[in-house]
Amino acid sequence: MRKRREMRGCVLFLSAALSAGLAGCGSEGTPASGDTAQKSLSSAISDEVVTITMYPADANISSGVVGGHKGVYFADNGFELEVWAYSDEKTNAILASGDLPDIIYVSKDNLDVMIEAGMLLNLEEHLDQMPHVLAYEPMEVALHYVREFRSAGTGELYALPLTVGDNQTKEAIADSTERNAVKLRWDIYEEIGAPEIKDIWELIDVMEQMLAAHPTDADSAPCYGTVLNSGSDTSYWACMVMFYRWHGYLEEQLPYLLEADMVNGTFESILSEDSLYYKGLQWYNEVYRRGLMDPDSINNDRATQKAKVDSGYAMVPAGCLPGWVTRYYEYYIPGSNIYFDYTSKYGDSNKVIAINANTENLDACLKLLDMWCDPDAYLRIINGPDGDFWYSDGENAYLTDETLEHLRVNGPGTGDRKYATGEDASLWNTSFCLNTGAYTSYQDGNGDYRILRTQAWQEAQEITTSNETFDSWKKTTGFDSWKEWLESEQAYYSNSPLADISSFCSKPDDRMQLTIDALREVVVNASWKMVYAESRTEFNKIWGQMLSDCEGLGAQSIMDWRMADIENAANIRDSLQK
Amino acid sequence: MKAKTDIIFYIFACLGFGLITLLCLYPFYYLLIATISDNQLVNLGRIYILPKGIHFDNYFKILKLQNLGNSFTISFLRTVIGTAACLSVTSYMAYFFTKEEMWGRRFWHRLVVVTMYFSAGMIPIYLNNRMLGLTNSFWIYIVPNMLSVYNMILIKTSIEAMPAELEESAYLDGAGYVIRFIRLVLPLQKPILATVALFQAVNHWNDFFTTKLYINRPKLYTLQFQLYELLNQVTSASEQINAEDPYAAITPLGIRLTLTAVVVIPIMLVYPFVQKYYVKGVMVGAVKG
Repeated sequence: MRKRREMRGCVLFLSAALSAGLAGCGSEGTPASGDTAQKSLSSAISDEVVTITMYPADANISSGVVGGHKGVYFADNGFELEVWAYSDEKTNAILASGDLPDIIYVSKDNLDVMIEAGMLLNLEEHLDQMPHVLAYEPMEVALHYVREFRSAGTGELYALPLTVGDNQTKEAIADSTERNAVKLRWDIYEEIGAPEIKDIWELIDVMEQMLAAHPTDADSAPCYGTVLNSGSDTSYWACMVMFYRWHGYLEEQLPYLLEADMVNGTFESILSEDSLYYKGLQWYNEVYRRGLMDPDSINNDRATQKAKVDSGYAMVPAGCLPGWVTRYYEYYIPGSNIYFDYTSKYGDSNKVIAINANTENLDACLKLLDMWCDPDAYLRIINGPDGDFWYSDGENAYLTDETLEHLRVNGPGTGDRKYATGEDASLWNTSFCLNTGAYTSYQDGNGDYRILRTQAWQEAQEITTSNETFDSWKKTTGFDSWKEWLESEQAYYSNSPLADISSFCSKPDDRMQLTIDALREVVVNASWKMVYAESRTEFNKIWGQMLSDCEGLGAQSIMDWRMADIENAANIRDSLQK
Repeated sequence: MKAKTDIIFYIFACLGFGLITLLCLYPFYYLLIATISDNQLVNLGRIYILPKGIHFDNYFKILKLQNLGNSFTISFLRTVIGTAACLSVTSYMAYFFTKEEMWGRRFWHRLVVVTMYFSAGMIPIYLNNRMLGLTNSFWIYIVPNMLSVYNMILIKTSIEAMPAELEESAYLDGAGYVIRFIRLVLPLQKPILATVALFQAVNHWNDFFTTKLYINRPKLYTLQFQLYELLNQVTSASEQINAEDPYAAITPLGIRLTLTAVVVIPIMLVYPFVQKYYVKGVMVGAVKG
């Protein structure tokens, strides 16, 4: 009896707790927005506003009706945007049933099938309703590419390319080659006397000295020479990304066991002791055996590695995260070459954006696509309304005093910033048709045009790079920027004989893909084992086993196929450029 | 008086099972301490045994998450309604399969059981449900799950274990099938029904795949799907190495773990109350005679 009473009491308590939680829950509506934003949205939505649905490129963007300041802006332009939740299974279901949303990001694998099935709208006859698409200069070449190679052989325009044009890094003072640079925790590097680093192996010696000078942080948490993560391993071992970038290589063809020397324009097999892949593994193993690597690297996910690196626990960021914080600055190792092309000539090689052929809201859809090519719209959507984080006098645009102060205190990134309506500021992770380096119609008061991202505006960069560490970097290196240093060493390459080839490469068939997936498993597992090998003998043994396993799986045939495909892709690219 | 070997065995058994218990319990414990610890320390992987920098901000932030209250309601409703509907239909069907006078009993039974082994695949099922008008509707959570063949077999076995004389006496008194089913059979099947109810409730509560595939309207999202979306966001960001934006917004680990805790805790709290029925129900069909 007593037990039953106790049980009933527990059940009642649980119900009360759940009900209290339910009562305290936020209401459905705009994401983390204040009431003011919601009211603005509601009042902005009138009878003329139509709802268009969009299926995004990936799960990076949250589903639901886009609200907040973006929703208000869309409503001012006559539509409300509802984003469907992305998943691979849903993509298959949508394609099978034909229940397309109004706007859809289409992967190149599905594009031909959808065009042939008549699912996508032919945009040729509607181009005049998208003036910003026609006005955006880099779009001309990209549209030509889409007509030729993303049109199921029809030669017509069924989709628009994404991220066409220059990246914002073209105007960057810091991080001007993004991941493509060796970076050091500069304050500690100065602390040990800023010794010269002559090659990649001496970098380990310097890493060791830096760690000896700073083995823990103020809370006695351990620091490391470098930190890796296994969460970024997708179709290849992601820790090789930055090692490749340090040498002017790219990792695009790694799933096919090929490494691309972008500077010299060659492809080589990674299954050779002469390969940079082998050298990279040796380098990481050396770092591990000297006790400089975070032993938890294989257990780290991307978020954990980023937290450790951004908090300054790594002396030299490696793997695939370079440390986008103002503790790390670039160092040029003599003899190395840095390849960085900030221009995307043909757009995203994997996805395009299209309109459902059966949409009932054609005008709104065309309006959205046009907006996706409008730099001023991008500025507004990503950085908030005029007068909040930035303001304009009609001709020029400037950052507000609050924004400048926020940058001084918090550095780049939105941090915990809120708009005037109370809405949290966070980046909308979706691709537009233009790239982040496109110029808006606003100028900076000195006659130069502003680019899309306010973080890249001159005054923002001056603040975020105005710190003791960067001043010290300039003094030690004798240069005002990383690019200036690279150019003085003639080590900066923005063009390559291999540029854009991946845009013209073909997809392996299902059987070949199975082999590629199996090879991936072998190479990734072996790579981690080699990093953690306790001796050179063990390292070589694992390497030998990996070669043997890859040979058994038919790696050579995959590489041969890909090399032939690359040669074909290069010919197509060259013919397009004539 | 226990032999020495018995005592040693007992000690080792306790240690072994104790270790296994700890291994099972630790993830839940970590989940709880991570949600109340400093988010930065959680991101850095510095929380192991004790929470550090205790705060409850994550729970307050979760409560402000868009659509959370609504998705909780949907999860709760589908669990309750879905479980009740499944129990009704499955037990009713099981009862009729125990009746030898049922027309074509063997044929229908085999036809139903075959569906347990073979499936048409995701796309045909999707197209079928779409044809029935269930996409973007609350009933997609209920209708396709109303019959569970495996549970039907369990209930059928349990009903067959009942003495036939019970029903015969009710039949002689003039009771029809429905009266016998409701007044006689169901009350005696409480253990197995509780077991099936628990299975179905847990399935409904944990399911996010249905939402992922069939639902586009946020008003019909379940709590599990909200969590899935947050977690998937992080995976997508990780996969886009080349396109990665240094300013990309990714929900902190602490918030994701907190939502996981919010989703898991209700079912964990309910389970102890129905455990005895679960144990009884699983054994019900095991021993005949």
